[in-house]
Amino acid sequence: MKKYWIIWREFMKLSIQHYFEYRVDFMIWSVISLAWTLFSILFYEVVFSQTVSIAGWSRSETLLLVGTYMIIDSATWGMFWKNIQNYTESIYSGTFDYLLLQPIDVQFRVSVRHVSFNNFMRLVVGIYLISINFPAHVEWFQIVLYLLFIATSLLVVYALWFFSATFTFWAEKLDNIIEIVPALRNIWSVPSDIYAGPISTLFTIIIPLGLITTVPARALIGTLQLQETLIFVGFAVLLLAATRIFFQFAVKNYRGAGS
Amino acid sequence: MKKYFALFNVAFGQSLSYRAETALWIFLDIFPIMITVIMWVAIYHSDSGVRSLSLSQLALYYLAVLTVANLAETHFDEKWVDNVIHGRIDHLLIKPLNFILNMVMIQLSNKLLGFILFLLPTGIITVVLASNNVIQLPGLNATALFFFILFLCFAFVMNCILSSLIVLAAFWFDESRSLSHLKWMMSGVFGGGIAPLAFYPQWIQTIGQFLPFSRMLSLPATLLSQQTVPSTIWGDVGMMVAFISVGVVVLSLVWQGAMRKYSAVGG
Repeated sequence: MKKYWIIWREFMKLSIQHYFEYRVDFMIWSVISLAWTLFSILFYEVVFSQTVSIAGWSRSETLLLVGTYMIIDSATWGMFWKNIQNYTESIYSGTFDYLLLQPIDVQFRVSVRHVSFNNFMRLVVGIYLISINFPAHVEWFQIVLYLLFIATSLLVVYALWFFSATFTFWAEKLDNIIEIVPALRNIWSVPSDIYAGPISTLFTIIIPLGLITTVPARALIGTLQLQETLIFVGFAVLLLAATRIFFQFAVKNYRGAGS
Repeated sequence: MKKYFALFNVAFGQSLSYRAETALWIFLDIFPIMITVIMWVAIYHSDSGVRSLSLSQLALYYLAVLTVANLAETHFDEKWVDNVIHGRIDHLLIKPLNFILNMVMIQLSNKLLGFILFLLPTGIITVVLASNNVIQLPGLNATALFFFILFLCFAFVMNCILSSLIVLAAFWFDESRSLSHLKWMMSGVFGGGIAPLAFYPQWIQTIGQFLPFSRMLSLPATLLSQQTVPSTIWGDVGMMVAFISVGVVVLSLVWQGAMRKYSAVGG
């Protein structure tokens, strides 16, 4: 365990050094990230110019959810995007062979190599949105639950992304396989209550991606539902286990011819 | 023209070999819009005292936006910026082909396959929404269809100009792909990509009048979804012709500057 901690710390240091080296790139992408974030807020401003609530969520509750979404989004892009991209490219190019030779868990190695700080401004705006829409009465355990559920959400997004990217072992000529999760995140960018009928069953029970942002937001607002929470946590555990098993199966079937 | 047609054929063949990737792109494009429509359906069902558009008009608008985006938006800037930065264009510069038309023809062939693959899922969504009475399809109006096709062509040409300018910016500027994000955002805000322009604050609508984006997305989408022709249509035609003319001149000047700037040592 200590070895992995040291390796992660070294990877972190390298990522930070990279940003000091490419400061202008960092600034440009921070501006782009901030612009996209303001773009998302504008969308909700347009929506609330037409209505007073979205599926029972008031303006301040929705913006709290949007802030939560931004925190999850900035963290997932920062921690996973570059790693998932390199993971699939290493399979296409054959450099995955080198990773298999290293005396370290391969999934850990490909999952934590890079950390990006380009979406830092999104994180800042997300925290700001939460702070200005913070509910009047919040107990300390709600904040603890909120943080725990955000961590759970990050694990779900990671597992989902890694799971879909692992199909690269079989899918040739499908470079955009890593774009599936960025498109799917629209599911959890809105309150899960907007889904009705079979779509609700799909996104809140069968594949409960609709709960990724809703459950942490509900924890803070104080409207957490037991059944929904259990489904969400159960899904996270199952998805993580399935991702691990699927990756091991893929590696077992991997054939490389050097590169 | 024959050589560009040959180029189109070759690019179409290559697109066919990447048909799974194209199909996945279509799904990824449709999905976010569908979530937006689902959200508006939830809003309309829970709150009846709002809006200048009916739910049917709004859902049809988003379907039309999806169609216009699929047919007229261009994404070749992302790939070609990399080609310019990494010097992978030398072989193209010595061929008797126009560099920009080369990019456009490849994009056109991708659009053709993309549109064929786009028809099935969009058709299914339209039928599902119509059978659930979420949308009521309007009767077709020949004049509206004529102007829709005209503005679709304008939009494609203008998008090609903007994408080409982003590619050419890479001759000076390493991170020119960040300009693609600017283009998407401008299209989303001033083009009416995230919501009909009527929903926006007045100041955004006013600025939008002086930019080409609303005539590249919102206007053709409205022509298709409402099948009515606004009284200002000839003014809009004039504005688009002016934007395209200026765009072509600027593109030509930037290309000349780019060729003076570019140097390479083999490839």
